[in-house]
Amino acid sequence: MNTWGPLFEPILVFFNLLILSYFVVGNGVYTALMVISLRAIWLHSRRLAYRGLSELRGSSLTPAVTIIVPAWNEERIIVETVRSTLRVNYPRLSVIVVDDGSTDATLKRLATAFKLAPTDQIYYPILDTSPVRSFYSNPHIPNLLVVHKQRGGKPDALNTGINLCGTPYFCCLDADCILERDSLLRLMDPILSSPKETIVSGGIVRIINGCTGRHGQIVNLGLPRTFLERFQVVEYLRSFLTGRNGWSLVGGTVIVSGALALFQHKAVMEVGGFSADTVTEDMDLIITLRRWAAENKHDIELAFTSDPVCWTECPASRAMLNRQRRRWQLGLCQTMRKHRGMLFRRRYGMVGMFSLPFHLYVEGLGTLVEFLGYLLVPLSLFGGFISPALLILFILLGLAYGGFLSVGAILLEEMTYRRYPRTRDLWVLLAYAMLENVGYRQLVLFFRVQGILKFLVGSHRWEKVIHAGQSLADLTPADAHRSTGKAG
Amino acid sequence: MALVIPNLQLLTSLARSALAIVAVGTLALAAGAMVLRRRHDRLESRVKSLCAYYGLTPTGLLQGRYSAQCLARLRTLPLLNLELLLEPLLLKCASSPPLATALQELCLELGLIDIWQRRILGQFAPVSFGQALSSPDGLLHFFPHLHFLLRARSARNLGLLRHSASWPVLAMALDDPHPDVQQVALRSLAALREPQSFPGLVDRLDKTFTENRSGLSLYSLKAAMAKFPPSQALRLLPTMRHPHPWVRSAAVEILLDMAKREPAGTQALCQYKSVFDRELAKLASDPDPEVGRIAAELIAHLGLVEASSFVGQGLRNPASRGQLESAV
Repeated sequence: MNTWGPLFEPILVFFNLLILSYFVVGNGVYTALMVISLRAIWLHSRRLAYRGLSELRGSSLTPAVTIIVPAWNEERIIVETVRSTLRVNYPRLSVIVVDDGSTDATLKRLATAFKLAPTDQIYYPILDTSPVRSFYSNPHIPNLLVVHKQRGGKPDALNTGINLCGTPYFCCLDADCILERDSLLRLMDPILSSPKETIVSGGIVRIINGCTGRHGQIVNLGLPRTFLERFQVVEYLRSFLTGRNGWSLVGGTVIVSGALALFQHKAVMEVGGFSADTVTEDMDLIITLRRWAAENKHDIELAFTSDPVCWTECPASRAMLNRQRRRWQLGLCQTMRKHRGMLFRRRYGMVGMFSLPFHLYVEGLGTLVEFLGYLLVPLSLFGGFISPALLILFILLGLAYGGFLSVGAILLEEMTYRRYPRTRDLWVLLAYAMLENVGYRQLVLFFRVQGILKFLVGSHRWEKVIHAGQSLADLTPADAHRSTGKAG
Repeated sequence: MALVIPNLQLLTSLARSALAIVAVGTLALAAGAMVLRRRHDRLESRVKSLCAYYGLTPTGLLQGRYSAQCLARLRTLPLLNLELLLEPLLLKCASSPPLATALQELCLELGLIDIWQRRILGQFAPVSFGQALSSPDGLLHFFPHLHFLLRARSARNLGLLRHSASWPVLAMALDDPHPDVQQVALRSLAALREPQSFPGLVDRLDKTFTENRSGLSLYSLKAAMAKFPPSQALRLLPTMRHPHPWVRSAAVEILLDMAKREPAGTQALCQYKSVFDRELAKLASDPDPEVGRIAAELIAHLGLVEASSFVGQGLRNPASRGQLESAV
């Protein structure tokens, strides 16, 4: 090793400095976001005491909204999703389900469940989409329209829905998601109460695994049973309560989950709808809207609030988690490449100067840095470039800091919404928050590296995550007896 | 992770200190979460049992079950505890007007209405630290920059109780420095539907785009004004001639919502048919298509004869046809 030492030493020193900077920047920014979110979410939860949702509900002035549900081979859950969507508490609501050329019984199940019949519909496709084959409706459910089209992918299905949307706002909802009854009103509230023009309003996605319900609504909240799912509960809480909320507060939002977001129809049409350039079309659309607003000097706002909730099923197996994370990482890389012109450009404000560079460095390149770090440890130790004591300390610090951020998110949840009512659930969440960085983080990192590799080889495949469907199936009356606590 | 950095000793001691701080911080956060949970659970059960003890339940209040003795006991409670006990009942008032009336009487007896009115005006009664700790929001009293939460909640309470005499205070709160208080005061004014407060709102609507004095959105103003009785409709006539098209369309939207809100609304507006007929006929051919569209919808809803002939003319005119046909 002595012969190789002088050769490797500068490389390792550089690499170690990279790791250190990744550690300091990543954790520093996330800590700052946590502190900002702590205050803001606490304030927001206090403000809920005097918010006027009933006024929004009872007024004919509240703008109409269309929920667009793109579906491809969702026969297991589509009926429950649409049922819960139709029960959403909103004064003027339409639902458009876009069957994106499913090869299973998605369309048949919808037709049977809602007694749909083929119908004629005038269709002017302003956004380019693959051809629409037929429309289905039921005169007794006038606010439901099902569109059957040739397969074109999720962005294409969403664009078909946007073409058909006749309301000033629309909400995209994944077919495997359940909206809480007041979630649309809660999403609309920041749009209507802000004197500024708000073109996007996003909410929180929570994990449905472990919950039970009735008639398309969750009535009993509980934690899932497997390790993998429980870690994801903690991860989602951290990501939404501290990450996205914090970015929104500093004006650096680049991701609003496509699973629950309200968009201004006019603005989305202006930017050409969803693009198929990336596999994370929601992130791409948000950045495109930011870019469009900055370049055209539109003074707009993107709102994020932590009380509108949409429940989704998280992957219960490693294979499906791998698909999901691979796709997210691939999408991040594709989006960064597509919008690289915005990096470090003052005209794009906080997003261009800080948020995008941070996502590129910490979420994009950082994945590789962290992964290579794990590989280089044995090499450095073996070469005698590193003190074992310092190495152990540094690893412990990394793990402890991850735990600190996750426990902070649980505290935020406890200070505000307290959705898991049983004290035992809180203990479990805290334990998982502390353990998340031992094993689970590394597993996800491994999946994310695969996403980067897919990006490097130019892959563009949209990998569908197939859910067990059990959690959503549990929303049917037959399984409603399982009880773990009351929904908040 | 590999680490080769000069000055190893310094770095090791730094890492050791950082680890200790992070470990202590993590444990503190976890303990904080547990303490909050415990406090919340205890508080919830305490509020429930005290409400039952004092007869502060919806049925109890509606049947007038609280006795003079009970009232005397309630008077001995510290203000913050009293507010805490009444909070669940206040929230139920929105859906139950009889409960609002009963609770309003109780709050008047206890002097709470006066306290809330003074709070909206920024006059806060002193609160001891011990008292503050007994209520989840008690500590807010010690942070003046968070007083807006208490002012907004007081404004909400007056609206929920439909305390009509409070309208001047709520009207003043429309100029509160915090937008939350302005919003809540506006909603409460709408809940009170006090005709005397309407002209002030019309004035605010007229100046929406000229005076940047409030944090109220156009939607909030429209939604609040539409809740007023249709007898106020005539006051919107000058606004229907406002130079800004958004304000003109807002005025017509308010009228439309007033008419749709209750069956009597349409009848009441039809009393002023002759006035609106002329005015809406002009608006139906407004240069702004959105104003024309909403005016046409209102004309159709009220069945105005003269104005609908203008709409008919508009439909025959290819230039304005597009903007009207959807509505009519």
